Amino acid sequence: MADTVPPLTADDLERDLLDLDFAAYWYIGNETDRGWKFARTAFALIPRLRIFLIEDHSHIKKWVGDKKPAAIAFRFDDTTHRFLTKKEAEDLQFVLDTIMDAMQPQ
Amino acid sequence: MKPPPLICVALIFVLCGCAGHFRPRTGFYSEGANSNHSDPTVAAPAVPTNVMHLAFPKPTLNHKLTERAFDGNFPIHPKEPPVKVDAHSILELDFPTLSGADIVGNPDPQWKPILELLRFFREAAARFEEINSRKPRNAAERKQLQQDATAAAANAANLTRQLLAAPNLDLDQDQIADIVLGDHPSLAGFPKSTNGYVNLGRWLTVKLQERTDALKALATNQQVKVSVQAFRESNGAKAALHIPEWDTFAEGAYQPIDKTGLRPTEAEQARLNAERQQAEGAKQLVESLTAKNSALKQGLKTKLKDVEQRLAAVVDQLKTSIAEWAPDRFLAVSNTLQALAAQNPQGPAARLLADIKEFGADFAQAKAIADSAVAFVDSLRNVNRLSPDELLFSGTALFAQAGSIFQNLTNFAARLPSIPDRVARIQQNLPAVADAALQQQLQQLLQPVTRLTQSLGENFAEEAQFVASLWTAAFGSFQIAQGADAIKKPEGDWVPRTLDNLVPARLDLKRSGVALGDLISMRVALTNGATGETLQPISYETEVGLMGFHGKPAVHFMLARALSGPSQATQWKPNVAAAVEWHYTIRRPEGFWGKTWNWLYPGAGIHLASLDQGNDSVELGAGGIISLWDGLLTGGYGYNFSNNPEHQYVFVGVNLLTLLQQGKKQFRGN
Repeated sequence: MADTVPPLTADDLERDLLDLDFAAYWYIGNETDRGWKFARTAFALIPRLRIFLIEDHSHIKKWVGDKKPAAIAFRFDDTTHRFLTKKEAEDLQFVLDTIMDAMQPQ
Repeated sequence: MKPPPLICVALIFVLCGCAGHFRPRTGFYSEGANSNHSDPTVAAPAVPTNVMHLAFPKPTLNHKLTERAFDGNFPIHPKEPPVKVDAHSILELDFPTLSGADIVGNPDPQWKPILELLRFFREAAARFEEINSRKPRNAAERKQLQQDATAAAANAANLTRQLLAAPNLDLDQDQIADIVLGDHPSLAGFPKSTNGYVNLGRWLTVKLQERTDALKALATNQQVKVSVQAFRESNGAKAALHIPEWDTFAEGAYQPIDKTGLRPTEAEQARLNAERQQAEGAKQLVESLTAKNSALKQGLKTKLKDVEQRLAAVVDQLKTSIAEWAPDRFLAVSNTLQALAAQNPQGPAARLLADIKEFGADFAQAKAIADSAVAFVDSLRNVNRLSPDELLFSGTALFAQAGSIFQNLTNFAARLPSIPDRVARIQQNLPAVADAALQQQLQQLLQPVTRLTQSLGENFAEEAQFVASLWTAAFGSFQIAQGADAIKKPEGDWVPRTLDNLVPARLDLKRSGVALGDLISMRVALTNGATGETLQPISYETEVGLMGFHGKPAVHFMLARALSGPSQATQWKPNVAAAVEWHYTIRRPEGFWGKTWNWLYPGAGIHLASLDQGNDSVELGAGGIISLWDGLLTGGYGYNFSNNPEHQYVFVGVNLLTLLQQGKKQFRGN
């Protein structure tokens, strides 16, 4: 699938983050996860949002270092707004509120 | 609201979606809203604020209740505090004369929030597409784009919050996600859309259509029946009233209440009789308390001691019997049963819940009686120290307390024989509930119930009645309506009617044998015999009064004294007076003064009193009387016809029946 890393690479992710017309939300896990379901739900409700499923954690070391977040919300620029825990990523209301906050002008 | 607009809304959503993609690209989206593009400069649609109150339409029985009176027709609305109606009027319940679909309908307030939400989904879907399709050409356009996307994100978060909180929708996060993603079972017939608002709109349309179909089926179902019932509550006793063509009760031969107040009807005679008995009881009590005669005082003491001891014994018995009841356990079992009953409203859990709730009510009533009676017994012990006004006029007056305690005690005793049947029914339904832990909890709950009936025994009703009769013998009747919780029903039965055979239900108050101050309620219910679905019964509460200028007979307890003369004449002494007072009631007052006038319900009239101001064995006086609050407070001036040096006297008084009603209200509040 085009939105899954891999086959997409860290370079693809970086290029997308630099696009100021979109905010982004990454979910780190599997396609069958509840957290990914809620990420797709957010994508279906919020315009100008890109979502990515990161199946291989090593590709995002540049952004997370040694941390193991379950999801990351990015602003319209390439800056990180918040790392989400697994519990937070599996709370639809929390995910939507976080993305909404990430989109707020700085 | 008719179906065609809904079908249009549904079609918009059906036509709106196609397969999607996770990466919105500029100019990529062509689905849904292309024909409906929003202007980029237009603000995002606001989420309707009433999603919290969103409820799918429930069947509603269209009807209206009208009071047809000498001075016009007046609508009566349900769920209002009792509205005063004229004793000469007809209460007429009308149904639409068209098809069943018009009778079982949906009033606008239920549909409006749903239509508003559908409109929001449609606009939000278009807005979503429009924002995703923009190609910003400069920094200003990009800033605007980001702002609009942020507003849309806020709307999405707000919408989800409201959908999750709406109690009537019963949606959890996963269900919302399934709907938004087009994976919900109810959307199986639609192509999936990547626009979540399209899927939400389709889901709501499907739900709405399902409910509409169910309503249509209900309206044409011959097993759906409507029943109309009327009841009269007079001095705590409830009785069913006859409505032609809606029951087979005998009509009875009643005369209308006389507007001049000079020719009381049979029901009015009963009310006056109750007032007289109470006034005489109060007179006797005050005379005994204030008498210098020690024999009289001793007599009173003996009587009160009897009541006190017997009542204390009954209360002890009651308290011991209810001590084992554990309210926490009852609550836990009720909650579990409630959850099971919600899944299957006709199942064994629902039947168990109904019976268990009755036990809860029984024990609550027993506790309230015991608590009130303990305070009452204390008052009896200290009766010699209480002043007459404390005994009679305060909110916790002995007379008001006694009336309500004895009435509730008698009613409770009347409920006891039905308990073993309920226990047997629960034992029968228990195996059908699969939950073993719940079965055990229920068995534990039944133990105090069984012991309650065993410990109180068969004699409890007789003992309660005996204590009440002791009081009655000493101080007069208090209209102890035996088993007043149970409604007295005449020979015959109610006649439910199918939706295609509804006729107006006319309750003619002139021919219903009512007394002034009676509460009349009308109840309309709809039951689907096939599914067991019952519409929440709609009740109308009215109070019988007289509109405009009218007279009302009454009997008052009063304290009277001569204006001058020897001390025997000028002492305040208890007496009883019969009176006819004339009042004026404003129909539906709107202004402050009109409402205040009706609230005060002032009256003026004439009275005839038995007096005790001289040496004559029988003394009679007559004169004027004024009253407030339907005779709760009275005062007057009169002429004593006996052979006394001073003939003029004044008095103040109360209507104890009104006081008793207040005592009952307080008991219910407790």
